[in-house]
Amino acid sequence: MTDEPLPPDAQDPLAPDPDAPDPLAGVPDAALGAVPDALVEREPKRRIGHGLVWIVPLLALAASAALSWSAIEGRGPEIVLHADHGYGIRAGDPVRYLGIDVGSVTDVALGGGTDESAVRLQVRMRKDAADLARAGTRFWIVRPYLTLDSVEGLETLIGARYVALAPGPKEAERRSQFTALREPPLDEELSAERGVEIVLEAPTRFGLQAGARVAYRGVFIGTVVGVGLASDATSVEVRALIRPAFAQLVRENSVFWETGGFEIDLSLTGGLKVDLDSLRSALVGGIAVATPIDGGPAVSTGWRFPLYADPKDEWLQWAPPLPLGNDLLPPGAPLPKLLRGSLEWEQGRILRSDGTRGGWMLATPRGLLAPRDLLTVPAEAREGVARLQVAGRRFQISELEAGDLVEDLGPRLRILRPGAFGEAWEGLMEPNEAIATQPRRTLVAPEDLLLVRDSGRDPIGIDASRLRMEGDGALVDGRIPLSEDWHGSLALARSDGAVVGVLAVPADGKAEIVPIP
Amino acid sequence: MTARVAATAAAALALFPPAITLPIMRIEEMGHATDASIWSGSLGLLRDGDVFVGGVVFVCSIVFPLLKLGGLLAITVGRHALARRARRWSWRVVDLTGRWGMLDVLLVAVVVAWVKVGDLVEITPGPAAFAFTLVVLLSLIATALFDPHALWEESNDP
Repeated sequence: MTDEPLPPDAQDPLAPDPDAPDPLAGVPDAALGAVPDALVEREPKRRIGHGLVWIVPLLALAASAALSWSAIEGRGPEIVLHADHGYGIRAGDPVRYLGIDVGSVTDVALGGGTDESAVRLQVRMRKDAADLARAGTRFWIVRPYLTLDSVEGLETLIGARYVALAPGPKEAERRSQFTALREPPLDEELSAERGVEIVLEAPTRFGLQAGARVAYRGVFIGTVVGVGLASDATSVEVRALIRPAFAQLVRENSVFWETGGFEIDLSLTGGLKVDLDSLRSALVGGIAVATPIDGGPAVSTGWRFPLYADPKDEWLQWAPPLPLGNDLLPPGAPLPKLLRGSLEWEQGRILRSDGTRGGWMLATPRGLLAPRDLLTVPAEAREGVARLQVAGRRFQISELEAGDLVEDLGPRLRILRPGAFGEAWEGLMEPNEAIATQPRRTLVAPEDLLLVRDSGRDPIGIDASRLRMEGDGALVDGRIPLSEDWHGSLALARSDGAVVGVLAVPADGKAEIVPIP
Repeated sequence: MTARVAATAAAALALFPPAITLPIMRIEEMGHATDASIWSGSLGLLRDGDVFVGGVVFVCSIVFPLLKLGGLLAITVGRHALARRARRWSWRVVDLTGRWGMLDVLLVAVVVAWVKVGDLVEITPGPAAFAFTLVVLLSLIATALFDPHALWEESNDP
């Protein structure tokens, strides 16, 4: 550092004078040529490598092109989301699916042009997730969502908001314009297997909200997804989604009642009685369902039921055996088509009466398979005469036996030979060709079974715990109400779809699964 | 000598567009990610009303470096085609913009942000970081190789 400052008017002698005119300005070019050359020793020019140096800009050009190309190529498609409300989403916030970033918001603006009542989000999808933006895909903005029964989107309280999505069906084509949902959809609505959606008609709302649970014997089997007035405002329509595994529980004759809220009953004799199903149902309401033994076929989406305020006492006693699970049988397992047959005879010596016995028969390549008592003359029949009606035909059992058309198959089953039907046999056999080739085995230990009588319509499920092995068959727990309607029905193993036997329901004895020899 | 200057300047120019338009770094702050490029950054500053800072950044990091590299290229490659006056003018451009073009400072700023702010937010270099570093290096080399005296001598070659 200099000790004494320079005088204010002193100039750095080395610095060029900024005010000085360009010494060359105004001098004609020709005059410059007249300036004598300075004598300078020149290095000899190195010519080698002179051209090689141009590789550098060529490489740079290639790198530049590659970078730009990869930046353009690596970009996914841009889509536009229209939302009612932005909830504080900003450009740079991610789009997430299954908790993973699949894109990002690039721009947020008011709904474009004249529409000021909407928000327009531009979203750049990641390239590998471009297919997620397809018809049927639903988007919504995740924000902290606090209700009495759930807390969602808590991470967005501190971190960034984000856009979540639920992809549409796989084969749907790509789209670039979407409308965001106002509310996050319920988990049940997002599930790939949607189950059965039913409509319950109620006189009032009963305090039900979306998210209320549908319970069977207190077990959660479905969810209310929407509550609203019917289009003519005469009733309240509650839409409920039954999970696919429990779809068999809801039959045409099922009854629904509301279980939400809580009741306080104060009486002098009984004291204080509080009836509360669960805290959740007290908050968002709840629905219970019961199905009678003759429940009818399982319902399909759109079926309507009335919703009652209170259950009848008898509903609570109902306990039909119903098969549960997404698939009653392994996929592709064939179902049999059984024929209804009935045996009639006259009985009694003094007072004559008609006796009948009904049951199911299965067409197999060997003939019509049935429990023994359907193809045998009962001991009490007068003069040994009994008539069988099956597939629109009548047979005299004694004639069949004389014609050697009936054959014993083990001690408890009999077979009616195809010859009895003549030409018509092919037609009877045809629907059961598949089941005839299905593997057959005998039960060695109790397992989950499905009882089928008519093409798999409303089958009965028998849990392994309801079976007791006895002899070569399996006895069915007497608490399962198996009427004679099920006599002769076919038992299939739910694990592999194999035929394991025929259900015999004797007039007096216990129901039993009889193996087919 | 002049060929080397021209080559490095041309290389720097070739890399210039991706270096300033592609994201140079990605700033991630609690799930909120922003891609920042020099172009979008300086334009963003201008758009947000910060005319002075935005203008300085825009001029010093985009306009001047471009002019300087372009000028160098013009002097070295086009020295026979250019009129003496035009050459003189381009030399002045190089001289002025070389002093005010501050690519290297910007690079230091990016690196400082990357190194120091890493605890608070997550910063990852983008694809432009590589190109930008190369541009800075090539530009420095071109300036170092450039010798105005040689130009003077050459212009006097018969």
